Amino acid sequence: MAYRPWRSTEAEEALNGKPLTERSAQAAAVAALAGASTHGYNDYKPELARQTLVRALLDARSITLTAAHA
Amino acid sequence: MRPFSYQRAAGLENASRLGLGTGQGQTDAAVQFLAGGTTLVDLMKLDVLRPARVIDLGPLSAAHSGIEANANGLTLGAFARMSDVARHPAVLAGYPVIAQSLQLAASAQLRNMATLGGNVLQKTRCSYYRDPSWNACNKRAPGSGCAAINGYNRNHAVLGVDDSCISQYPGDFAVALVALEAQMDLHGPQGARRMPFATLHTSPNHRPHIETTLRPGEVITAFHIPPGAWTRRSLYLKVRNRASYEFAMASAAVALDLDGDVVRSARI
Repeated sequence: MAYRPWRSTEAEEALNGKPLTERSAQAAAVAALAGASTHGYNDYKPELARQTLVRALLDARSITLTAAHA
Repeated sequence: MRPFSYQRAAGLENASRLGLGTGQGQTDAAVQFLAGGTTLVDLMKLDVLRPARVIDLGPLSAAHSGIEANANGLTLGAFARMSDVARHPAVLAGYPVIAQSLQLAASAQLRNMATLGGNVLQKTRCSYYRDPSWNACNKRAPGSGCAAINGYNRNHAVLGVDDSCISQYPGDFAVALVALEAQMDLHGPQGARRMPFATLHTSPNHRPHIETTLRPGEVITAFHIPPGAWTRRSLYLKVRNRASYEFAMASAAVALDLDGDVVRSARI
């Protein structure tokens, strides 16, 4: 998705201190891809990347930490 | 494949001295380090990398392949094999995003050969970079242009590109490392140093043939992932054209510290 391994502090800042919901995850994903530029065949990628990040965040929210790890 | 000379490094000091010609990973560097070989040998057969000398780091492997998790975080030797780290119980339990990023990469055979240090330095899969019959590739032939910008760029990058190169970084493990704020230990001709992993890979900066901030002769010896409440609630999600043995079209490494549903701290 990126030229180099990419950290999105924009997405992190959009979430820190807020409840993690589908709506806030969406906002983080929009922030993460705000600087995207496409070149034709890869025009689909920002939307795919946004949906990937939303799903990753919601999946991480539902991880159950067992007592041994909590 | 072109003829080249082959030499085994006797130790770290020897490797750094023999590797002075490695440059910063440029395609035209006269000297290349060999670890697992899964990228280097492939690109030499394709005539993309054309080193005059190959320095085999294999003899360093035994001393730099440990996996250790404790209160100070997770330390991974740079010569650890991807498969060994992916199935290590302490990595699976405490740093699932690391285990998943390695398990979802490549094939079982490649994961058994490839080292962590080599993996983070894997070259792009851009088809114009990997095929020298295309003249225009600023990464392979500096100043020659970019065939991908107006070409078939379905799996090219959308973040961090410029008009000199739109190639995509292909790795998975490195995506997890930048999210978790990993540090990296290096050994070079001037001795050892530690640097933030996030500063290893450079932006294209109109000279995409220079890919890293490594200094000539520097060898990656270890990765260190600091501890944090977010490492256990972490995952790597990889979206691709087929379910296995395929590079990502999009991927995300996320690690969350939650207080109920409220995000105390996110790493993305």
